[in-house]
Amino acid sequence: MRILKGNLYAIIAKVIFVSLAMVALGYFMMAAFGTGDTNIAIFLAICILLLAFTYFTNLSVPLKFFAPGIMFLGAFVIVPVVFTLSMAGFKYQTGNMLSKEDALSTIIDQGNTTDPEGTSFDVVIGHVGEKQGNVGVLIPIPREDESQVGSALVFDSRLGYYGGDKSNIAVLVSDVYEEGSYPFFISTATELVTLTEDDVVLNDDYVAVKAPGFTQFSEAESKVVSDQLAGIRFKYVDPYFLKADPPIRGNSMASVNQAEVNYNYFISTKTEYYEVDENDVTVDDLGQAIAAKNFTKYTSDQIAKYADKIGNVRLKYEDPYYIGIENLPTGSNPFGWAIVKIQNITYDKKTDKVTDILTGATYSDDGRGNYRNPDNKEDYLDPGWRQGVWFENFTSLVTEPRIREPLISVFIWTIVFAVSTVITQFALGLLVAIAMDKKLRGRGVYRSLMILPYAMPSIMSILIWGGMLDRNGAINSLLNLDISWLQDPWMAKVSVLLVNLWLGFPYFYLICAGSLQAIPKELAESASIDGANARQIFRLITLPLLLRMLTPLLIASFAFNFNNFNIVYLLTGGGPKPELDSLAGATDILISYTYKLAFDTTIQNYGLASAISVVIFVIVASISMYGIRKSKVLDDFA
Amino acid sequence: MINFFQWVQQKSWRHAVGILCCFFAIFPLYLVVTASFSSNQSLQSTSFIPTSFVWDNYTMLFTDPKVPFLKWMQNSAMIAASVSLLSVLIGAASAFAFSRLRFKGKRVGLQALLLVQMFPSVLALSAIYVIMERVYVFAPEWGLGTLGGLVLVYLGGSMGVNIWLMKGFVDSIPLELDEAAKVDGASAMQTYWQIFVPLASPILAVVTLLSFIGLFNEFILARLFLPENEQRTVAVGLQGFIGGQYAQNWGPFAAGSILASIPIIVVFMSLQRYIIGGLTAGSVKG
Repeated sequence: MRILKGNLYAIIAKVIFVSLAMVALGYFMMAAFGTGDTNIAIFLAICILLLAFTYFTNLSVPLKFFAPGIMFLGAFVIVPVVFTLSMAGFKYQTGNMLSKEDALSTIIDQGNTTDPEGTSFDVVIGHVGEKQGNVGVLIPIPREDESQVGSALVFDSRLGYYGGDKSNIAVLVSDVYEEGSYPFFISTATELVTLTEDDVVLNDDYVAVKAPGFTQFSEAESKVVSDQLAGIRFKYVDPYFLKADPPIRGNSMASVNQAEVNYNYFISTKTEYYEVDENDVTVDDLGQAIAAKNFTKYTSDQIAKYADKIGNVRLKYEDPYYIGIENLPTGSNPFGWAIVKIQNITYDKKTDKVTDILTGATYSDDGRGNYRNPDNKEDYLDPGWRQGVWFENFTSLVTEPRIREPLISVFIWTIVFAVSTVITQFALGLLVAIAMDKKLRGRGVYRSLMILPYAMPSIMSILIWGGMLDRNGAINSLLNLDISWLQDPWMAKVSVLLVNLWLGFPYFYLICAGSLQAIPKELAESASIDGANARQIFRLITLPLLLRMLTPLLIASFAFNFNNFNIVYLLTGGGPKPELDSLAGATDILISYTYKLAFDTTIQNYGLASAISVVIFVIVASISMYGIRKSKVLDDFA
Repeated sequence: MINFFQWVQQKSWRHAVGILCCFFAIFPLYLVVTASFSSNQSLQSTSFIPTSFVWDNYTMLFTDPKVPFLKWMQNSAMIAASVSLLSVLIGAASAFAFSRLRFKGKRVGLQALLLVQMFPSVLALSAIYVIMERVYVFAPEWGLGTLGGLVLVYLGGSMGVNIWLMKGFVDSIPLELDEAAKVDGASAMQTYWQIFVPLASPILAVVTLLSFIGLFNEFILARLFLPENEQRTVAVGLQGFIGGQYAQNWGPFAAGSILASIPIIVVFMSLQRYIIGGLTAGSVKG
């Protein structure tokens, strides 16, 4: 055989190939660095160094064979496994998923609330100055003015009170000008009493001075109530009302008024909050403000463009409050909606304390992954962070009854499931192997049919079994039974074992058939010459030899079934559950229970799940290592 | 009981076991076949003899726009093929080194490789998910939700098993040839490419096929990774027919399962001799 030495083409090919790989990795490294994924970038950098070190130097020959495999194994197996294992030392669950910095910034971001009065405005959203990105709002704040209607509508009146109650301020009005209307009436804030000429006492000027139920205030009393007059709207024909002036020499002038809405305009930006003169504001036909001096309304395209910015901006208002924009304008409503808020949660870096300035409560790091109020243990801030808790997740497996109780039953069932599976699969496989050990008509057909379950993709066969074992499924209807195969806790366990037997017995049949062939026939022959019967030969020769040969495989099968996630998860989903809210079902094995703990509930507890997976890992690894040591497979290289 | 083992000698007993076990083995498969030709959407047949025979379930897989069955098959085949080829290509070198080279830390390396495989990988899901989520940010064609990303993750996951399996196979190739090459002054690399690879190529082919079958069967990662209907693998896509709490369409599921299983079963049956040998040698030597 010709051996090429230092083939030039091989070297060139190697250099090109390795360089290309390094360039590709380098490209991804820069990309990862650019998006801030420093950890991934560092990992890729190490990979590049590994490639260069391995293939451009001659320091280690074995590494040349291992390098690519190590890279993939490292990235997608070892890193995730180590990450998962390390999580066992953390309080890492729903509500405590982030790092402390991220949790704190979320708390502060969310740490605002509306002001106590719940002030809100319709606002015009736009920008201040030339820069489009400088978000601001123009706030029209309605103000109700009262304006006199005409100059003639002023009546002589007397100020007093009505109905004997001095706080029920009233005016006795003499409307002598207008024909047809009631010439005299008493008006309070709530009622209008019309009078005829006969009811009242007139003075020389034809002004009513006395009326039933009405008592005029003395001069001293008038002085006292004068201040209140500006705030009282005396009843008149809607929508008009009367305003009364303080009496001068006993006569009070009552004028007819109507309400009128006007606006004060304010502009608020990130840095300023100020009032703008009404005259600097442009109003459209409907009276809605559309622009102001130095303020330009956004078009709907601009709104869409700056939507994120608009949603997050904090605009100035009277300290310590600020304005946040809650709703953007819609097609039918040109105004946005803004509410006055306050940043009530503040953080003091020096003391690492969070204070709610509205309630005055102070929260400090409780060492358990939350900011908690020391005065009220139930009061803490959400979210929390992953907090290192050393071995707490492990100890809680034993000490907390809520965790321990299901875990014990799940653990027992896992052992029972794995052991029974191995025994039943092995027993049936061996039985078939013995039955097929002699020449038999149709043995090939039997063999082909029997390994079909093993050849079929197991995902599909498990799902099919699930359908067959359903209460309305084929098994019940064909056999005319009414058995809750998957709903009854005990029958579900039987079903899982039955389906697993179906899946696995062909494998053991094939293995046992091969091993039976390997047992020398002379042993059985000489034993039978010595007078042993078939049963003795099987018990004393065949079975011990077979077990010795197959122990490692039986152990490997045990380890595999210990973590046989698919059959449990796809057949019963771990169920049935003893109670609706319990997490562990009757057929849950450790791995499926742990999977649910980590992914399938509303409170996902990664920390606890990781701790259990460490336990599973230790159990399976020691069993397998024992099996491997026993089979001495590694000793060949010692 | 005394006559039990005499009776065992008789063939009738053997046939009884054979017939019963065959019935047990093919009963569910028979039901799937009848369900796939049934117009009834359940696995609730009331007799062993099919009552109807329609092709609807099969035609539906190829005509319903909401069921891109061919695309699913294509996805599965592409993923499984690229991962099994690449992982054997990469893993063979490691298997060779473990099997033939002498170096420090070999025993530790083999043990570490085994130990890593013992970890319940379902639980590392969240970590893999987080990593690939980040990868998507800077390399959108290789991150979460892409076939490329799933291929990468599978590659990492299948590496350990395949190295171990190939090492088991390769240990049975006689040493004389590489000893001779070494005497002739060949380097390890030359021995690998010019002696080992040609000799081991049948083994590498079998491991590739085994790996292909295993990947075809993968469900949990595929479901988590590829949420888009068009991207699904055939196992995840078919599960969708019966995954719903209230709508279970067993007909199309059965038809799809049969179509998807046939290639696998054919490959498996034709290679069973090698495969069984490999399973024994690869997991642990008997």
